Amino acid sequence: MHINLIYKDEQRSASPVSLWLMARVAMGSGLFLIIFWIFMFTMGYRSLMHQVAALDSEWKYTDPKYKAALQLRNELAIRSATLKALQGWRDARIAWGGQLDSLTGIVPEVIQLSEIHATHTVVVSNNIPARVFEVKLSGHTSADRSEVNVLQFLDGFKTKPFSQFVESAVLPSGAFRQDPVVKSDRIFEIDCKYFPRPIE
Amino acid sequence: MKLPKSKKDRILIFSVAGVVSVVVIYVAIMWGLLPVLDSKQNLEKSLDEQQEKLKKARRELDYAPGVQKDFEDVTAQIEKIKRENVSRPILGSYLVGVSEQIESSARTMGVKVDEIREIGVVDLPIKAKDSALKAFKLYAVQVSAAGSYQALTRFLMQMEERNPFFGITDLQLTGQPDKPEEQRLSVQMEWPIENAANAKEAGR
Repeated sequence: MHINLIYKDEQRSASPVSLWLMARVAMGSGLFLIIFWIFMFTMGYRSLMHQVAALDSEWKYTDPKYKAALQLRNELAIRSATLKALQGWRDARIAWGGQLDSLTGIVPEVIQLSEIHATHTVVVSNNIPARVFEVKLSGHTSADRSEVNVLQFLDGFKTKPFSQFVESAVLPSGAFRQDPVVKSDRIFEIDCKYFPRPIE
Repeated sequence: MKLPKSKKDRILIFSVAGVVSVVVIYVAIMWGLLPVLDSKQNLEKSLDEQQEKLKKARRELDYAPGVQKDFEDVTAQIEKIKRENVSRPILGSYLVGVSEQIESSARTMGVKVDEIREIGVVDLPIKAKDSALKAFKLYAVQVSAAGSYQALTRFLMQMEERNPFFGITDLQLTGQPDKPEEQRLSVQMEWPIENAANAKEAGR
């Protein structure tokens, strides 16, 4: 037989670690952790503020130099563009002295040139301007082997240095005919179109 | 302080305490913790940005001596071109200097110059947008001369060798039936000149 002589609400635990003690330890630990976190957070925050202030100060010192360096780079870009454009302009020209000098090397001895006319236009392709030169050559040769002589002359434009410059050299239709003055001669015209030379 | 004996009262007190605790924690988080965390995050972000900015600036400053050297080289090359190849007016006229050049070369090569006619200052045939060459214009003349084919060729070669920026845009070489040893030359010559209005923009 078991008789309970103590009320339920009067019962006490025999354990040395009471629930209340555990709650107080937990609250104390929690409070300690919160304070520790606040401390660490504050330290971290202060350290961050110091770093930002140090960087600000360094930036104030660096910024004028940086702006000057950027300005210099910008100036360099402008001047480089100018230099490149000038070099492009220079390289777009054709040295006609050299062309006329080289021409003597491809004209057969039996051909007499009467006129050389070089003209120049500027064409724009893909927003890039280019110089295009065209040359019209007029001349005459004796009727004997005249076709062979003129074709030989035309072939000369396929050799260096003309092959580097001349895109096409053709005899336009009707440009090869009898000389109205000297009936035994043939007169001809040759149209040479030079490769476009981009200016920039 | 003792808790009430009644279970109902105790539950009521714990409920009220719970609600108050939740409200306090909510207020602490919303108006205390989150703004502070946000502030720290912003500070960290600002620090990162500042570091990145400084890193970029330091890198640029490291390159600066090289950029300075390139700048000096490019400037020297442009100045050399301007000094040696870009025509300058003599007492407001380009024709004087240009005529001297033509006549000097012609004399050396045995070419007879009949006429040097001023065409004047013309724009460069540049269509590219924002071309760096807009700082330059051309001064053009039409020259009529006569001489042997070789003399005329050497005359043009010398003009072109003297100044690689000198250009010929139109050339007509005609033989003379009555004088087969002499050719007539009509040629349009051009020299670059500075366009004063745009010279500053081109990095003068």
